[in-house]
Amino acid sequence: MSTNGRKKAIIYSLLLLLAIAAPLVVRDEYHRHIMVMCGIWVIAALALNLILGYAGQLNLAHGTFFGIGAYATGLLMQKAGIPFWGALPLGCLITAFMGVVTGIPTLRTKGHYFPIATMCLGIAIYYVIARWDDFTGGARGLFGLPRPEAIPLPFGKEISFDSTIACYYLVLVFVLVTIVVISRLVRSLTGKRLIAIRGNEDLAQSLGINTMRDKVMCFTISTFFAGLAGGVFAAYMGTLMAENAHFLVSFEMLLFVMIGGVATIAGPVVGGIVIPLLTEELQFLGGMRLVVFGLILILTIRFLPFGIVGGLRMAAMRIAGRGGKTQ
Amino acid sequence: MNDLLLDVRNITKDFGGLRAIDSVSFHIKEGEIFSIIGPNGAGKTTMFNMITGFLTPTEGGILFKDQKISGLKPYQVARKKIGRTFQLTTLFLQNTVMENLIIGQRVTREAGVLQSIFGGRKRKGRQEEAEDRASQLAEFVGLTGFKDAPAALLPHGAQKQLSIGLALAGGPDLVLLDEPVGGVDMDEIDVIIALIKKISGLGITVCLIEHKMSVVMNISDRILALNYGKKITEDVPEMVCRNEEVIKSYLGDKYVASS
Repeated sequence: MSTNGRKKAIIYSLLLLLAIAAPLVVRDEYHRHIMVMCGIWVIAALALNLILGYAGQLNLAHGTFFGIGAYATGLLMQKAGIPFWGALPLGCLITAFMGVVTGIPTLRTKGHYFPIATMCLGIAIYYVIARWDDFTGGARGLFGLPRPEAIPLPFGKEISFDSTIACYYLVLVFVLVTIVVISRLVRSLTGKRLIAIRGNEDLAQSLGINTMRDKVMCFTISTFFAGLAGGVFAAYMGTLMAENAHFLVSFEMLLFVMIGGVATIAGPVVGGIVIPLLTEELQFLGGMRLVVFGLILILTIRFLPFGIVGGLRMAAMRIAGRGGKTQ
Repeated sequence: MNDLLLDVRNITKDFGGLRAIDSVSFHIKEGEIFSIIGPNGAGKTTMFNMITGFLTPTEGGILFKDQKISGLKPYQVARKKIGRTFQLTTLFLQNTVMENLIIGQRVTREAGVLQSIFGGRKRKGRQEEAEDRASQLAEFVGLTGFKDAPAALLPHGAQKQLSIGLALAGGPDLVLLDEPVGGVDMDEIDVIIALIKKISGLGITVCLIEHKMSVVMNISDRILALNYGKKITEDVPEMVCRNEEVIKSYLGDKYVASS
């Protein structure tokens, strides 16, 4: 047990070192930019996995909440003149508030109706963003959003976020915060309640679990982190398009989670890195690359129902020759 | 001994135009084993679902320990210390026996979100406590040897035992068992009957729905017989199996002869 724990600690430390060293090795700006984007997708995928993988609710408005967070943060910076460090937490809270307001009616539905309800919600909100010209800039979008303000350090120095590499480390910090918060949550008793709801909602209720409250709570936290990913995206990119809040964004995030490995912490991290990288590498295929992704998704679901991470775990278990478990 | 635990008063349940339960009253006394019998469609499971909050009665009320529980949500009823099993054995199939029994416990429900994220040592203590209790529960229902087996891979009888363990996990004063020996083979029936007696021995009141008359007649203190949503009788087994209407609707001639 303790050797296992030590092994894990060593692996995690190595991965963290790798993440810290990566932009120092990768020297061209374009690939550094892709690495920043991967970090943002990882945050969003971790958040989707919380509601999908642990509470068992397929939220097809997740990309829309990413968009709400992006627009909320962007508009607070541009129209209200609030600095990034204030706009980002406010943007997350606004997204989470929208999560509560929309979660309470939609989470009452069961089975396939929740994905359908959230997809409708996502489409509706997308059109609000895309058509509300005076407020969101409509189809033109928002331009010239400022980067995060520099953090002052003692002795007159500061951390500025003008460079891609600085943004990379900023995103890395947010990724780590998201991983810590979500993994603590799912490993706690609250996480066990969520897994119980995923397992069987009626049974969970008969055991005294207030399933509605827990689902709304989980949905709220999930949308909060979707908003975080969106807010960071807005400040990093400097421009926002209605397409960033399109309901198809949800499906991209779903792809990250499913291929990476649903209901694991490592899964969305792997998926949020591998898929965007693959997207770049397959750029030469043009529209055909979507066909490749479709094929990968079908093969994954058929042969690796718990994604890359689930597959690796199974392989490790076979090598070790003993039983293990997925969360 | 004769304290009233559950008091069902003039309960009616309509599903659209269909009256599933028609003005039924009965009561369960503290410490007894109470059975509900009746042919298929008599309204037994509907009655269970109303007691446990999964359905709201169209008319009438249900009192538990003198408090009204009809109209409460299922989780609220569960927190009043009423445990239940489901007719189709319902478990967390992907989880192990131990995990099932940990999820089932009261402590599971009480850690708040913030405490889950920021909590430190206290959280660990509670988790260990839950594991200890889960072990005890596994032993009580006779699943010590299956602790780490996934629920989905258990034999049917063991799944029934686990579902009863789950119903007990919250420390209930009343457990409702919906066909605890349904579809279970002969050897395993004895195991489950012994388990029901053991539960009763702890002072927990038991209410069960059962089809197997040999089981019902042997272990019940009192029996409620339903037919087409109406109450036929509520009495001790010796009287119920002499009741002509019960015999007509349910038991068949065999029991007339043997009485």
